[in-house]
Amino acid sequence: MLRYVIVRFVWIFIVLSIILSMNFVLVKLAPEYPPTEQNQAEIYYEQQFNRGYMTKYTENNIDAVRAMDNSELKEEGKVKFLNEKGIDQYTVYNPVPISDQYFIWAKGILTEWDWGRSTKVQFNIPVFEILKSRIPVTLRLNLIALFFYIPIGFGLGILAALRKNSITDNVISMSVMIFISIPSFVTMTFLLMIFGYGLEWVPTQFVSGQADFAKQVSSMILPVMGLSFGAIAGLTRFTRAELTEVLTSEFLLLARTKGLTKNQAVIRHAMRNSMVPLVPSIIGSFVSLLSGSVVIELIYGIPGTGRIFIRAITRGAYDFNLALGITAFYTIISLTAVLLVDLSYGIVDPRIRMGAKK
Amino acid sequence: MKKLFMFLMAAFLLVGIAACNGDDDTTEAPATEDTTTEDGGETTDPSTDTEDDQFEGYDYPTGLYNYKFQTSEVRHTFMAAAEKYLMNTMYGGVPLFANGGFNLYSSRLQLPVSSYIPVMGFGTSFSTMTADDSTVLMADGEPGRPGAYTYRSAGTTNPVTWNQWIYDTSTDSDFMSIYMDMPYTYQFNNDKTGYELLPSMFSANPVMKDADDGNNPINGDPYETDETAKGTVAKTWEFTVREGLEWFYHPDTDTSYITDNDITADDFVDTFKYALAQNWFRAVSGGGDFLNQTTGLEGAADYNQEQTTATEDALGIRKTGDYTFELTFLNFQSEWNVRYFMGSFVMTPVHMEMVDELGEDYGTTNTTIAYHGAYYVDYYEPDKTLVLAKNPNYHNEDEFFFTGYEIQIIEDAAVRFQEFEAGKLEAVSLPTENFDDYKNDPRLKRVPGATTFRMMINGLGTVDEQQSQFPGSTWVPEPLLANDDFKNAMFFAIDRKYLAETVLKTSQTQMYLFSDAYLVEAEEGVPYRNTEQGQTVGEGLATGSNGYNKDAAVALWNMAIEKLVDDGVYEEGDTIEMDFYVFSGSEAQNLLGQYIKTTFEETFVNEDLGIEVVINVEPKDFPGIYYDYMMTGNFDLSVGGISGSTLDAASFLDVFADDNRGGFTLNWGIDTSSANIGVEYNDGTEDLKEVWSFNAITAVLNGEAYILEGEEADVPNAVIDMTSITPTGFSFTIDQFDNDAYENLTYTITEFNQVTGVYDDVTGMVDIDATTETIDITGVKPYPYDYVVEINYTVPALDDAEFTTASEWFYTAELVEYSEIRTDETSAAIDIIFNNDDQATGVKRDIDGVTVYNAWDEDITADVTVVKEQDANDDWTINITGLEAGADYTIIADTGEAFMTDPYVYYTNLEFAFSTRSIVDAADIATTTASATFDVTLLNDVTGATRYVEELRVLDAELTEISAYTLPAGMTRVNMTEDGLKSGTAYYLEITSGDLVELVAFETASIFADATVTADVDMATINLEMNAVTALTPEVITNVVITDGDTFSETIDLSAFDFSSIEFEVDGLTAETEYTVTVTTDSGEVESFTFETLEE
Repeated sequence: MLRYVIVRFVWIFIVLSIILSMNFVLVKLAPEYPPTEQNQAEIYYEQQFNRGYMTKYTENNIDAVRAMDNSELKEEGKVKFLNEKGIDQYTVYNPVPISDQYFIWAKGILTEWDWGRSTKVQFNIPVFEILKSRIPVTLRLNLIALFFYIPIGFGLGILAALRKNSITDNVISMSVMIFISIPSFVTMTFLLMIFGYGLEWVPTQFVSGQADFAKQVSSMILPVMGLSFGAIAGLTRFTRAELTEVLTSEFLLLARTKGLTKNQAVIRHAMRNSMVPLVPSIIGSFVSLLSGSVVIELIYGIPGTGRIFIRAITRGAYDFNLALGITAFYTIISLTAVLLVDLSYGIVDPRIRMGAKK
Repeated sequence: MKKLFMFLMAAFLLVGIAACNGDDDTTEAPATEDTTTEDGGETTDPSTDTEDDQFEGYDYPTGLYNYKFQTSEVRHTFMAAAEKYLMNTMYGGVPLFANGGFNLYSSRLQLPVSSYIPVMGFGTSFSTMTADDSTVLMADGEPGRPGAYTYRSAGTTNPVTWNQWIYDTSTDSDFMSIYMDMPYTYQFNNDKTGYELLPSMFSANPVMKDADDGNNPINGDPYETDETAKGTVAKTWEFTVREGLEWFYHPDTDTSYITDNDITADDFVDTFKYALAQNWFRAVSGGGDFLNQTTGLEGAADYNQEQTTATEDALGIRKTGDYTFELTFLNFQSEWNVRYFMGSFVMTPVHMEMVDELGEDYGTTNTTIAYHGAYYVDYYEPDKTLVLAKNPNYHNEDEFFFTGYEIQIIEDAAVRFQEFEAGKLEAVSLPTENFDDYKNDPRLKRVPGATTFRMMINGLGTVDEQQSQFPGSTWVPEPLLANDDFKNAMFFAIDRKYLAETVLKTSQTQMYLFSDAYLVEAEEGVPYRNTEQGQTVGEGLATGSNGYNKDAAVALWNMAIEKLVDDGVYEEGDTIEMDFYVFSGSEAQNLLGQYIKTTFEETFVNEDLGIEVVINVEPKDFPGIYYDYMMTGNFDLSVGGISGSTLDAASFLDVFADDNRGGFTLNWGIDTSSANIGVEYNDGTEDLKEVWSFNAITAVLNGEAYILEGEEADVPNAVIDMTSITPTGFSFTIDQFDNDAYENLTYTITEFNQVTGVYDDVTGMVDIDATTETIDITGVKPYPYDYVVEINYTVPALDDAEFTTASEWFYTAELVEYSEIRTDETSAAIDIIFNNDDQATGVKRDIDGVTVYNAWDEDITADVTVVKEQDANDDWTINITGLEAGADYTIIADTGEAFMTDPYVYYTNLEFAFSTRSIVDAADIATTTASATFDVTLLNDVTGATRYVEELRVLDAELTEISAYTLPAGMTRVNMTEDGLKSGTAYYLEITSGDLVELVAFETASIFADATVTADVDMATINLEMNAVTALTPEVITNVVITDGDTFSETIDLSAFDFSSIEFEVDGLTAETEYTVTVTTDSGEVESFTFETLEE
């Protein structure tokens, strides 16, 4: 088992590397929008040079300088001419091949844990510093949502399955269809308008770190609800379907004929069997929660990774280093979730042993 | 016949339209008549009459003019004339709308004024409140503290920087204006109808330095002043810093290194110089900086390029007392100009000790700056909130009513508005979609914007013109857009009120290029748009309908297209497609694009000719829409909006000039250099009727300019022939040489002095009479010397006033055209081809002597053999033999020409550095504190024959032998260890193979993991951290001796302790003395290092 886990972690590393590599190349191929302000542009290009992404030289041949002044010699691709006011010379920055940039970038991360610095969102601040301040908020929110929706989803799903085709089942199924269809940001907006601005039960915006603990807890309510409604609906539907199928299976009939009560048969046999596909789906849905939280962070003013991710990939204001850093964060979460899914099979059903020898 | 009919109809229509001029002028036409201002300022539009008729009785002014300091009436008259010219020609683009909006304010907020005042706005920072925070909800949804009055607002993004000298976003500006003070701040005047600019960080208004004050230290001349229509102006002004100002630090800021809390003249002077030296954005660009022509400081450009004693002495920033300093400007400034220049939070000091300590980290957070404003940022959480509290050190505690600010960061405008409606904000900008609900709300205030969005026009018309303006451009311009009638047709076709209020909803209707946020005379505080002159600009332009006149648009379109068809530019049945670029990612811009498309396609149809206009709306990203399209001429029509200094509207005229002097000309195919604007005014002595060009008006409203026949004069100037430049000569031609307006043309050649950083006159080349248009110069020095040619001349029309112009600087050619260095283990050959372009026929350059230096810059010419050879082509080869393998050398070849004595050139042009080929393939030397392990592999020689290591010697830094080993024959690789070395010491490994010897340097490991000394004048703090030399546990220090090698010796005996890391202080040291610290460890290791105490 341990060997299996280790192998899986190695695979996670490999997949992560491939995803980040692809992202790096795609991002580097995209148009670049360096800062327009001279000082920030200089800092930006110096950083690119210092990191080895670009070479630079000083062009003081007067003919070339005049040609640059008159746009006869133009910047092509991602080449940049920087000219200091009043000085007849240019600093010419030339990007090195993307493959070279990639190895420099990867080496920086692997040897110095250096993810680069933000070029737009929080200028000149190390990307890892930015992530460090944002990840706790996002993770806290999503984990709370996870623990909130599981019991409710299960409960409603079981109830609907046990009372299949009753009014209860119909009401639950109808609600499930509605909430599955509504995107989380729409739900969130409704919740905000009703409970925030309407009833004033909870804060209308996520409170700052200065607020007291109770306030911080209450400001979690709306985003957790916004994130959970869709997930509850999905889990309810899945649980109902699985349990309904198991309830009609022959082994359950056998259990009943052997004298077990309905409750005993359902709890000991039906539910346990239906858990096999259900538990992994819960862990997998954590990833969906994370992606849903990006928009909810925007609506509710939550200073999490989602907001800066959106800003980092805003057209015309790309923040490459930050975008890659956040991508890594989301990728790690996703791949770890996949591993947990696989491992959870063995816990739910002891007959399944991941990594066992054939 | 049909065409003639159409033309007559159009002409008839235009005459009819012109007759209907007035407020209700929905059928108003472009101006065709003169307009006169009541106070004598009169402007004439040249659109119809011939120039001779139109300007009969007018003069074309010639002379040196400067109307920067003219009376308000004259300046407003010229400003209005310039704007009217742009409006009648559409050379500034077609005005669309202004970026105004609407604000809603909370009911507890008591604004000091009810109507918007330029600069002050509604004066929110000076507001009071009718109820405290306990009656309203704060950001967390709970009521605030009783007795607190917090201004609650919302921003859209986080601050980018906290350093005011590099800020670049309006968000930063908004925040900084709260937590930064200003030398002079804007306050309401007594009756709150305008503003005053009053001292804040300064204690008084600036004082001019006149001739009675003595001489200016920069040049030794008396301080300069001048009399203008408005009073005396001066170049040097003295400022007095308010006494008692103190820095404030955030409680979380590390202040342990800070020694000085007072804000004095030093803080201003040091900051200004530092900002200039560091090229901080706001010090060198962005307007209001130290380098531009309007507010530039004496010597600032030189100091910006190079910080030397000479450039610092020549810099116009000087401390004159503990609380006084003076600035010397390039141009004359009035007291108001100077106060305005300093009326900014940018012109405030940064804490230099903090900058020195934090370096690049200064200003990256709210705790890495020091504060001097009325508030400081007490709490900052990115993407969440900024909380500002009152600065207890602020000099005027009662100036502001608010006890603090709470600023939420909310990106979404709809959410911001919801927060306001929930009672959690004092003010909010009204979203477009809510406008209809609130348009009658008494809390609603209209805010005029500073930016008039315009439709920029690429009027280059032909490919030739396009390529002439933008060499290499592949864009094909639309001929229709070069037609003046069509440009005016576009202006009249747009219903601006409908566009601003119905399509865009919260924008401001605007038909002019300057909105009512601009002032020409900032000191008066009256918006330019509201002046009598400003109001005449729209006459003849359908002001009653904000420039909308569809009939006129159709008539002008028909005139334009018929002419172009007659000229063969278009043919009947053509569809004219034009791109219209709008900003991407904006619904409002999309709506704008669709409105223009619909309007133009409806209006610009000529059914008789079967010609129609089709508009393709294309969104383009910001800022690329400016840089990649409008500024490079790759567009037909594009929306753009540039705003200027609202307090100095005249300075913003340069963005409309055809020569792109402001760097933001966005309309092309225009001519603003010809004198065709009639202006009637009184210059203080007489009534004048003159004809000016737009560029000339722009120039004289912003400073001194030489005007010739109403236009900016083309003055004599040296144009360097770049193809003529040789190592010792060049040619230039004098532009305007034959122009009779100039006499006594002479030239002076100046050479850049590498030491002082200024251009010195070249002896024998000063004030030489220019007898021919083209002049050849010989006898200058080769690259890297650079030169500037000055042309001196007099102007008879100006009573023989003397002027000087300077050419661009340029390098002379290099002496050596080509060189190549070839080396092997013991020799080098250098091929040299001289640049002989400047030598007389048959005469070639020569190499007189060659000096060879080793890596230590020792002259070893005597130890090696040098042979110079000159071939049949007069090219040279220098052969040097007897060198050591794998060593670095430098040779200096003397051509015998005079300039070779100059040290600067000596080491630049004919200096050749090279390394001989190494015999060592790899020398891996691993060291400990006492030993070195060598793993040496030799290279084969150039023929491929194997080399063998025959002898190894270990030498100390003085090349004294420590040990020597003779190795058995046949060893190509050696692996051995040398013990008994000293820790942290430099050594050489000498490798001998046959006749070849090579030195490889190495250094043994130090016993110190870290050894730092913080030295002062008479004491030093020494921090020692030891390495693990022989085991995992670090060495234990047993003894430390500090000695100056003479009288001072102090021993710190630590043998009774078990320290591998210590920090201690040594007192009683002497200033500027070198001390040696010798450290002994328990394993017997001894290592020393030196430090020097500071100057007293």
